[in-house]
Amino acid sequence: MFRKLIVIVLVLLVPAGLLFANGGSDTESSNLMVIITPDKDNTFFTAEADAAKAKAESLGYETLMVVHGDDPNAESDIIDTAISQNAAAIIIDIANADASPNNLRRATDAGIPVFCMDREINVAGIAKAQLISDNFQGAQLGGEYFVELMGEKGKWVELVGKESDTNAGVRSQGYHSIIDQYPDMEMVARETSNWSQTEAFADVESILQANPDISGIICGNDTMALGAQAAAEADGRGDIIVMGFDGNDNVLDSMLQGKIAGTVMQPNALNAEMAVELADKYIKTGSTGMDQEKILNGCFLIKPADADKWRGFKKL
Amino acid sequence: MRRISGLLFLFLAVIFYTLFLSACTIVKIDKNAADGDGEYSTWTKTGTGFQAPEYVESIWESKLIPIYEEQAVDFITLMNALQENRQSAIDQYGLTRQTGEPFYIFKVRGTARVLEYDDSSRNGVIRVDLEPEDGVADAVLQIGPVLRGTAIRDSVEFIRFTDIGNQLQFAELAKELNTRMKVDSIDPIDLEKIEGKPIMFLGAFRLEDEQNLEEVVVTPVVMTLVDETDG
Repeated sequence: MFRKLIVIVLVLLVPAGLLFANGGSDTESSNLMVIITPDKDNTFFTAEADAAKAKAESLGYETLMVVHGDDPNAESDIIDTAISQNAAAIIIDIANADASPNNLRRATDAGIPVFCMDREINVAGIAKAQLISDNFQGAQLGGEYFVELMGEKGKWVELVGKESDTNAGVRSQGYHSIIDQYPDMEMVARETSNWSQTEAFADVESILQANPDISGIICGNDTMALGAQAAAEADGRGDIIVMGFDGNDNVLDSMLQGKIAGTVMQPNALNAEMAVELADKYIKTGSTGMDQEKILNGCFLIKPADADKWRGFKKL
Repeated sequence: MRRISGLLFLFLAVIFYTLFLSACTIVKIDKNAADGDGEYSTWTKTGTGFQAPEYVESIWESKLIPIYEEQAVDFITLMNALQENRQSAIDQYGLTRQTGEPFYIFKVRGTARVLEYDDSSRNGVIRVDLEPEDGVADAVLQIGPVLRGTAIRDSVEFIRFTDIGNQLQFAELAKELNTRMKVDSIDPIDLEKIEGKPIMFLGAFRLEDEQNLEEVVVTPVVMTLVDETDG
């Protein structure tokens, strides 16, 4: 009797499941790409959002642009919106490596394909594709150039980005993987300046009081590099070698003026465009056509001589 | 007597408890070690962490070196071809990597005499005169102790980022491959006496679109001193 009941329940459940599955795919699929980025004030992320939007519109999609402000809860709400609007695809630069996979899984469970750009998630099989900037490789390039400019010796300072952001740690490890191989390079201070120009300025101001003899500052991103360089210059130490990371236009301009020594260009416009292209292909054919989920796009070292060849994170 | 056995029981219980607890702890640490390093270790299709040294050990002799022995092209032949027609040389000899801007990896071989060992940088190099010898340096090989770049890792198609894990693990793999080469090929050599000696090498280098051929630095994969008494 009991066994019979189970069978009946199963028989009832299976078609119900099929019904739900059909329900998802039968709905008129929208023409909407939801493009989610971390921040609308940081030029790095606006360039990424703009590149994705332009590419999506050129392929005939409507776009909904949203920012999560690095907040997984906000990201979760946005995913719900995308689901309720039955988006054709979600293009996202995630909020948090730990929390975001669960948010994204809800979208894929609802039948909406997800494409990640810039930041990576460590769980396989959720995103249809991940277009990732190789932050570690970029940091190694920056670290090598920094060491070269320092003549492989001297006292230096590291400014680290927001600790909740995976890329802050990844870049720091990339820098250290290179610089720590040089025994005459001595790190005298390491501060978290939270990606912020004003915090970096204040941090370097006080570091210089304790360590007036530093000769280099390597920064986890460009906004901190701008703050660090300004603080050094205000202290009459415009000679201090300052390295950035991202390739934003203000830093490129500073390099052209002989101030910031170098930066690492992230291929973030390329990541965004590739994410949209793969989404378009997936929507049309049911496959990205790639045999791998994670695609790692390399960063580029930018020296002052090349600073005028890039704008808006793109090669001119 | 009862009191003593009670104490004994308590004593045994404490020992048992301690052992039990510490056993638990050991298991936990082992598990963490097997998973790699916490936050970045959850990726990979098998669900287990990626271990670069074990991976390199599993491919170095059996897979990587044989590919070089089979595919490496003579360095001078390649450089001449690149000079003549860069694109056709890339098509014929190179492995194109599409990661952002494309770059190309070449697998090369050569027999040469070491003209100079330059250790002014920790990224030490040797400048070598390839056969036929004319006393002029034709190639630069990096020999460390600091080894730069990811040329060895990127030189073979069977190593793919998506299979390895995240960018830290992928970078760790590149470093481990460089280290393996150094341990096998460079460390046994007395570098103070290497100038003037003949060597044989298999190696890799990366070339970018706007890069000058003069800037090419080869990362050896195998490098050995040639015994001159054999002629």
